[in-house]
Amino acid sequence: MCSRCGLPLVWAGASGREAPDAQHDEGVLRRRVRILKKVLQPHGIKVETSVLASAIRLTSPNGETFAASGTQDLWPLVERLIGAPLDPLAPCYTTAAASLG
Amino acid sequence: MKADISPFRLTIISGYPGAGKTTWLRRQIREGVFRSHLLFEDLERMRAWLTEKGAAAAPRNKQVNHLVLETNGLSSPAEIVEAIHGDGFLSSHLRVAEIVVVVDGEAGLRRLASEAVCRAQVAMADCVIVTRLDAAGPETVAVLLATLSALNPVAPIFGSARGAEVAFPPHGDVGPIALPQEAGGIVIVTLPLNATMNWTALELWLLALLHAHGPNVLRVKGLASGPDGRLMVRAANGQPPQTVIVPAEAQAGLADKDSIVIVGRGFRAEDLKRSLSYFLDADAQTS
Repeated sequence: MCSRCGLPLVWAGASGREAPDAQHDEGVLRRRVRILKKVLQPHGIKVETSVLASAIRLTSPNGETFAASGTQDLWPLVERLIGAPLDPLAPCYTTAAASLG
Repeated sequence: MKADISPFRLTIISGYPGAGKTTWLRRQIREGVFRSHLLFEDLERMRAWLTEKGAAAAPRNKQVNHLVLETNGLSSPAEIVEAIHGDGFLSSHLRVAEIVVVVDGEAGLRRLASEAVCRAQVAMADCVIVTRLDAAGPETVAVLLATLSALNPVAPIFGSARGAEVAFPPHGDVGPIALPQEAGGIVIVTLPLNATMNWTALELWLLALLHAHGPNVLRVKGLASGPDGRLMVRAANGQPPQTVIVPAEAQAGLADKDSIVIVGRGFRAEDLKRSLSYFLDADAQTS
């Protein structure tokens, strides 16, 4: 939950409250980057915080780079880098989770 | 002149044969719940009416702004929603506003256990009406309510007798009956939500799922508790998730538990759970 607005971080805007502040956004961004590093690792995609505020920079193994400014354009950009939609139900995710569980 | 294609609001009334759809619907119409509506019994007749009337029938021309489809009891609302969204003409003229599923208070439990289509209907519901409360035993109703909530925790449930809304009889804390997660090719997965879960991972996972499997994800609907009340998350047909705060006056009948229900086809429930688990663990392992 967001310590500032008390709502789930990603859905804080649904309440109609004032827009989350920069610190709020940075926390979400850092967390997204941590998750994406792990999720995109099997595809060899490097994930970093972009120099552009609130953007995530994605770099493919051949050096192609895109910056995703939000979650709505994230997966279409990943698709451009790996040539197909990233399938969260692919065995590299489901079998790994099964072995963890 | 540009055609007016602002869509009609569509309510789908579904329920197993004999559940009491028509009795309930007639009562609602008599009491004025549905206003400025037209009632259809199948999608093809609705299409024919839309084709014939064309722009003249558009909602802003006032005469009719709400279409109601009372379905054949053996059809699943999932198939109807798929048919609408897969059809350019229908999808430009119709907006599925709500799916109301009627369940027989006496026979509903048996139907849910034995009929896949009955489970698929309930899983897609925005609202469930339990009928024949004047005839059903309170113990049966209690188990039915627990089972309906387990199958679709985000749909409010209302009681009815002879078409009129009635309160449920008082009942103790009983559990649901066990049901298969698969219903006639449709997979129904209920995932618990809680205040401490990693919402960022859930959002990324949900967006990835919708991006990769959009046409096969028939419905995503979740409820989470926040300081302003219950937050509803919904998505369908590959569209990004939308969130709304459920007004206090609309919270009657909602399940207490926070959860998200995913209804779709072409994937396995177990894979969905494992995949989400991977995304949730990704942050835990790297933080």
